[in-house]
Amino acid sequence: MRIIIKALFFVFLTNSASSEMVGVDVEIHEDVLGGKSWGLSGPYEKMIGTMYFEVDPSNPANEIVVDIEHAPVNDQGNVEFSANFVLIKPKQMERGNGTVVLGVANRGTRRMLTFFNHGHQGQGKWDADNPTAPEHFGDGFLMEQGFSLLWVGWQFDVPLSRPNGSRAFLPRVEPDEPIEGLIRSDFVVRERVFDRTLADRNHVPYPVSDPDAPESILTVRDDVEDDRQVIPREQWDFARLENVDEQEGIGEVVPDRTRVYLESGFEPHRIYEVIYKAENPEIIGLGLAALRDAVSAFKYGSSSDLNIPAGSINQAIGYGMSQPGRTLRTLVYMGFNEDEQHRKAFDGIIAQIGGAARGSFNLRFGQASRDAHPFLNFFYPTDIFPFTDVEQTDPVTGVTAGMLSHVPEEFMPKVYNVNSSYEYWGRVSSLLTTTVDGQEDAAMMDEHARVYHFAGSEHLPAAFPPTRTNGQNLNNPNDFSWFMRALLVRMNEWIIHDKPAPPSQYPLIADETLVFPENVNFPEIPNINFPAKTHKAYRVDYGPLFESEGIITKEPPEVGPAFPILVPQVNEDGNELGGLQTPGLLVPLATYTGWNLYNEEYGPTDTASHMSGSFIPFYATKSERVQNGDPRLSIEERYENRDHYLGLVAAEAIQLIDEGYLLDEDLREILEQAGVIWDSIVN
Amino acid sequence: MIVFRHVIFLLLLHVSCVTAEVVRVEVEARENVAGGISYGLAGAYEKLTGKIYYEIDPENSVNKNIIDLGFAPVNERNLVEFSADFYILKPVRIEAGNGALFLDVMNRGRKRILYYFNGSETSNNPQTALDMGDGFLLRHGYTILYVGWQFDVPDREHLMRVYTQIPSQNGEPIQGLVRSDFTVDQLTLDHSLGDREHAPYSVANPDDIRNMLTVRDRAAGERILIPRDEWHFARSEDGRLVSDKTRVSLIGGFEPNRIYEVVFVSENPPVAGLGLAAMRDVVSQLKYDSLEELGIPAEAINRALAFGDSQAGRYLRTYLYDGFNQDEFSRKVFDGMIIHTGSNARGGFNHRFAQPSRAVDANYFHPGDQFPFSDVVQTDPLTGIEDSLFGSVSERTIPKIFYTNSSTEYWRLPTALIHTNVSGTEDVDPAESSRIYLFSGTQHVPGKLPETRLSGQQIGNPNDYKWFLRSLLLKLDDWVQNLGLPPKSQYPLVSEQTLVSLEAFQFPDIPRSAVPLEVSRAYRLDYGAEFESLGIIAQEPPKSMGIFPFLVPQVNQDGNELAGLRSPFLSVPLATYTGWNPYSPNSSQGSLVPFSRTHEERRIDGDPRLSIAERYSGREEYLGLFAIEAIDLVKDGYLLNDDLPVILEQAGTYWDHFVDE
Repeated sequence: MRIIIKALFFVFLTNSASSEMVGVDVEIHEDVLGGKSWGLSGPYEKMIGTMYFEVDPSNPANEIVVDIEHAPVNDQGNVEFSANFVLIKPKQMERGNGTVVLGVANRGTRRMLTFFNHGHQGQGKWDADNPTAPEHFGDGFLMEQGFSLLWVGWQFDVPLSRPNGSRAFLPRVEPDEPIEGLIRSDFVVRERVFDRTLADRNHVPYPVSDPDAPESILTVRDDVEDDRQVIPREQWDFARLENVDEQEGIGEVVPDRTRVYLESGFEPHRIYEVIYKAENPEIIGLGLAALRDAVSAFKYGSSSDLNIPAGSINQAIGYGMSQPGRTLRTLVYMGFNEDEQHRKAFDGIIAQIGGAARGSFNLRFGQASRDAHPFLNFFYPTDIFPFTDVEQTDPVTGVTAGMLSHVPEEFMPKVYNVNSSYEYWGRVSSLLTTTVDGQEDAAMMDEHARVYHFAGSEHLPAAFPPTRTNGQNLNNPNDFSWFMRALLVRMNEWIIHDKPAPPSQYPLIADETLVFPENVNFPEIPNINFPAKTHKAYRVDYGPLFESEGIITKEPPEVGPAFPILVPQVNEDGNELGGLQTPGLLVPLATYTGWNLYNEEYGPTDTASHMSGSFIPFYATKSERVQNGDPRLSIEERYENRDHYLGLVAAEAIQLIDEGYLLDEDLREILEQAGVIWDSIVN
Repeated sequence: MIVFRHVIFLLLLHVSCVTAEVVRVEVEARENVAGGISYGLAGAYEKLTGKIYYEIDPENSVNKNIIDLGFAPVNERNLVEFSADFYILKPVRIEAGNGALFLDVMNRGRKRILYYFNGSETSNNPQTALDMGDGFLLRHGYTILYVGWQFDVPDREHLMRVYTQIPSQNGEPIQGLVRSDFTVDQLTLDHSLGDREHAPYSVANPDDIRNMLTVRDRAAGERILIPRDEWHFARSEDGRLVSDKTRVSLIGGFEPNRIYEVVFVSENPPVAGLGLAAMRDVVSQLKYDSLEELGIPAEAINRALAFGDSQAGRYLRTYLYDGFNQDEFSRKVFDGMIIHTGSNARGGFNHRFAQPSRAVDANYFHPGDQFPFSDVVQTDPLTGIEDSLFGSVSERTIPKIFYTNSSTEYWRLPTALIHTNVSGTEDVDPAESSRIYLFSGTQHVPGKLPETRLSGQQIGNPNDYKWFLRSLLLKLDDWVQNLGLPPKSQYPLVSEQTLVSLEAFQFPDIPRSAVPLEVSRAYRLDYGAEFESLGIIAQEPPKSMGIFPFLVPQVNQDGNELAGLRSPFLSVPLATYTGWNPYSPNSSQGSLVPFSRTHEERRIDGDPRLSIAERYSGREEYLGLFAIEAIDLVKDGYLLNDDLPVILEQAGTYWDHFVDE
């Protein structure tokens, strides 16, 4: 993708001549749902289009962008780039709450209307690209709160299958001599295939620069820590198979610099890894600058094209779920919360289910989609030190650093790190709150930051009734979105009114609610396999230029000792003890876990499947559970009847409302949801 | 207290519009509310107080409904001048509000809606965060307006009033009959001629032979004339009688619990109906124009709602009937009204020698509970008169109306007549633009739990209907804006035998709880030939011409009402909640009779009602059942989602009070 040069409208007016966001093209401008009024916020409008940016490569705020010195510049000496955007905002900005929530897209997908508003679009798990129907906007929660919602593309390599996905248009380096670099691409397939893209999850790959280069290498292994076996070069190629005869498994091998082909085919559940060279990458760190400059323009500027008068946006909250949670952690860590004019960009950061991690978002040849799971994407710079907000020293490497400790006060946002139980089992989340040696709880920066663990939950709550996806058990429907609605409101109050958010809630080593996996006292439930291991994170050496220049020179990297990983302790029902517990967990009808071992179709059956948790209902009656040898009390042994159960749920929910973790207005649906689960399990 | 800018406002007083009825506004104080805290999206609020000055044209046909306006003095433009106190609570940034004006029709000069809607303690000078209660109306962005409408409110700080004119005929003072009745609860030597500390009418000539004093023991009893030499227009001072044209004194004193009645000739009655015009014209001004002095520019207010309770509810019924919902330009004034605990009645708000404070709990046979009752046209079979509450109101200016009443209203007055025919034999739906809700098992103003025993035999009834009012207000506002129909009417029906005669009322035989034997009945009354047309009472006391039927809500075996809008406190009960109290049948007090806790307790007590232990396995089951009922009411629009946690917490408090106490 190249920047499409258009007439630029200089509509964002800031105090300075060096405006970073220089223009905007609005392609779609519509009233939301025909001008429907959302309480005091009034009607909303939606704009979809492109934002144009120019940044000064010599400004210290931009010098942190890896390879910016190799970027092409315009006549003013500035680097140009652009990004598509979706903006949903009050038509009369003075009726809104003055806060823009910037939704950081996950691999091009937007997820605020679906998550916060419980909107939906067909079977999709994410927001409609162009939300138009009532169901796309759900119950209107974000609108009734008066938020302005903005999504700005930041990834250049979003899958082309998502033509309207959130995407940035970033320049490639234009050096005098081509810049070469090493790319590593690992993958696991579920069924035998003969060719496979070099990129993760169908992203735009970095093409191999010389398909015949002898140093390109393909290896295979069965377990993460196994030795790699080199596959002879003559058995594979940078190519794809066309006109395949399904039965014979043969077809025409067509050279393709973006795919890898193996003569005998890639076998399921094995780890393949290609290492190759590519050249002249996109400057991906500009994606972080786009997020920064978009919110700065909203906060400090004005736009007649976007109908944003000066002074109408006073706060910006960055919200990212999963990968984007890591994006936001990376953005703050690397110093992107200070704009070119030394102003604070984001006032609040909500990193949801981002674990303790960052990601490949400002590296040469960075692959933004690459993450790290027990059996998906290995040794990418994801779970990398530092993890905690406060400064710590890694006793193994001797390196001292913190996630927020170095951020100057004037650029310090309020920060939430919120995680599900899956992040403990699958994403080494305990490193967020422990010392590096795993022996003690780390100090918290309570003045600026909160850590919330949603006990007994999976990466994203499953719809009820849950189904079985990649795991052996039903997925976990424990719905923590209600917490997130309240916590978003609390974040906004913290920023505007300086009213501190409710206290952090996460399991502690000190009270033995956070323990080593071997010390978890999970009950012996028939047919339920408890994981013998968690995902691991290692000290990884990517070469001497990694920290200083953002360049990986060692592929595969050198893997050092693993970090100690802890997980939440459970009670006799197998439900977690610490963290923020939903009423459904406090008044349980089931065991809710953050792990769910792979089923045979998806992966090794001794390994926690990616992103899934489990839902293991109690038996309804004592006789059933005795007959089935389930040690957990049956529902009839716990509750007199449905009303008794609902009364208990109500009492717990009200307590959580009083503490600020749930909203008054959500009580009804929470109780109704509890009733539905009762009816489903008991009847 | 920060008073700012009022000096400037006084200097900048100007006439907004030459044709306007509101000619100027004097802002006396402009201060922030609750220290400037933000009420959600509506932001910070401010209060402004002062006086509004009006001029109206007595020749305008719309003003012909104001009794005696034609005799009022006029200025050089031939307009009648008057003024009224105002008090406004508005968003500092009016554009952050919801565009609705919500007018509190004050009750005897007292502010009421922050109590009903925000759950705050009553304050007549509401400004602190505490005064704003939970901020409900503010968070929803309402602009709250109070305008004085009563000329005779007690002379106390912060009670608001209208300043009217005294009419005269051919330069002579207007004279007429005034009736003052009262009951005392201990031997009293003298009594005001006014009601409840209101400004009384003075006797014109104490020696006028038409002046008389009677006594009786029951409202319908025979009046016994007290000899003229035994009483005086005087007050008692240190055992001496001092002449006083505003008080009456009886040798030997007035005895408790008897009904005394003075009828006397007075003069110079103010034009009471200007209070109705004061409200009409300022609301119209704000809706259709602006009042920059109040920080309300044009188009900031696009709709107006009114709320009045009890006396103020009867005021709104009068306001409608007398045709005040159209302004001088025939535009609709209020878009919606909640007429709360206004019963079937109107009141003395727009006639000669009006006494706005007179009501039914301590007063008898004052103009108020007179046909018509329903807002659809009916015929009184006795008189043959055909009429409706909307009288001659043009259809265009009829507002959306919710008539809400507590159970008490059905026992104090024939409130059932608002939804039956005049004979009380058939149900009658209200107008399509109206809804009727009975808050079942409630008293006039909800009591508190725990509460000390008051005047009644039982402790007061705490069944709190205010939660319903909050939801209904928002539903009314949606309806006004065409954003949805309101929840359907809920009231007891003759056809379903949930509305029955006193004889058919079947209350369980609960120990220490006797059903009142006597209720205040309403009569067709004749005040003389000029009353209907000219607002002049020539007949005092009025002649009674036949009784209206009296129907009450039927109850179940627990003594709880079957129909109407039943709160979860009533549908998942821990007690019997009534709108009446046997020891003071005329009071506004209901009663609360808790169930026994256990079977054993109730057996010993001889209570026919199941005990709490026989109904619920425990607190949680009770709460669960309660939650389900509350959720249904939320879904049906009678309760607000946002209020659910507080209501459930209240339910828990009830349980703890009744069971664990």
